[in-house]
Amino acid sequence: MSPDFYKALEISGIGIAGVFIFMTIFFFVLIGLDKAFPNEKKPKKAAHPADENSGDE
Amino acid sequence: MELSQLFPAIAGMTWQNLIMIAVGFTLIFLAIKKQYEPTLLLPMGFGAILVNIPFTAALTQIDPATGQALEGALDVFFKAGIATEVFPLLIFVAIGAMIDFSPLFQRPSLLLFGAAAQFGIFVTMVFATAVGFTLKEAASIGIIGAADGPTSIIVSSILAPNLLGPISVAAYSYMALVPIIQPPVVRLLTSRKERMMRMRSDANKKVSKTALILFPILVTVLAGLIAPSSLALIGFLMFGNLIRECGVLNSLSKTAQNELANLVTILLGITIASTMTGDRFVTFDTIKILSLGIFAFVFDTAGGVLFAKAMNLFLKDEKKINPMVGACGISAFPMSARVIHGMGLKEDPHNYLLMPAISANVGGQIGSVIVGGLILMLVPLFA
Repeated sequence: MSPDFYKALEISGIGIAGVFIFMTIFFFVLIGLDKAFPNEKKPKKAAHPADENSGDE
Repeated sequence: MELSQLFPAIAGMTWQNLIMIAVGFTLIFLAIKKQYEPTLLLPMGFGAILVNIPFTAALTQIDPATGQALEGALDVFFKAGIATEVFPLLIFVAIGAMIDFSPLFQRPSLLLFGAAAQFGIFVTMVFATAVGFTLKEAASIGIIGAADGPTSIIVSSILAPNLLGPISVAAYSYMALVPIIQPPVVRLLTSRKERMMRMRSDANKKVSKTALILFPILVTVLAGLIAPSSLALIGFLMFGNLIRECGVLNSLSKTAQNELANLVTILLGITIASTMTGDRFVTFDTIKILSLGIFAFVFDTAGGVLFAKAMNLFLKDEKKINPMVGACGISAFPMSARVIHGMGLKEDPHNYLLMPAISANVGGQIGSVIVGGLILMLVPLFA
């Protein structure tokens, strides 16, 4: 095999490990952001129970 | 007066030119009739015809009278847009503006498939060196497996500009052939029971605007700190996404998604064709590259599916992943997700895999760009 073959093997090892490291970091970024900035929008509720029946009907 | 003086283009036509003109017609046919990536394959097909007519003014020619070079428009576009990486990077802005990262927030673990499904890139790179390509050429061929046209163009234009034509044709053609390439590989590696596996839906989980705005910025900073060479790729992608998510640049976001994407795609396709001249394209290497491209797609798909199976060994029953979703870790978005969703429905008409498949597919878009950056960083260190 040519020297390039062995270099390619080495790059592949580092590359596969590298992309997993990157994605794992981004995974924790996603988790961290989701925890730090949870979506707090809740469905709108009527201000007063009586308002629920105050339609135009 | 001789025929060659009267009709130099006809007299100068070689069999390689004729083959490439036929290739051009085939690409146009596939684009129009089969609708395989028509936005790219049609300009490339027409460009292939344009540059294979001898003495075409679209390419730089030497004026026999003066001996001076008369620059052709496609060569000017190539120098300005491909050699400088401007066209693919502008496409990344457009793609970034089209990506919605919310599905990843809904199930972050699926991001890892964007790493697993890049396996084929590296397997192909090793195999390409074994069949005689240099390290730089092999890396450029392997990146076809990223299923990401702009990344393939950037990597090959830097590492192996001589192979840019066949690599671009392979990358875009095979992206269009995902519905044909992926299903047999997935079926081979999964049982019917696995294909019928249902997944918990997190589609109702809402993601905060702040998180969506901060994600592209943080990814850019972290990617830059670890691998600065990946910054052009990941930075432009995330810039496009920030325009989309910031909420105050809706007009720019729409422009990036539509006008910018369309304009650059037209220029990109026809400019790549400038490398598709008969003397450069009709070689045995092209056949090898096209074969290795399929090899890369097959091993990417296999990598994603097998990684899902491996993950399932450690997951609780309610969190197990349908192994087919692993195949969506490639960058062909949203085609791969649609194909896998369709396969799930075929096995069980009530098994909706679209949302997890989309999440893995978005992960694949990030993964392919990261791999492109890593290859650009690592290969020059070893070559």
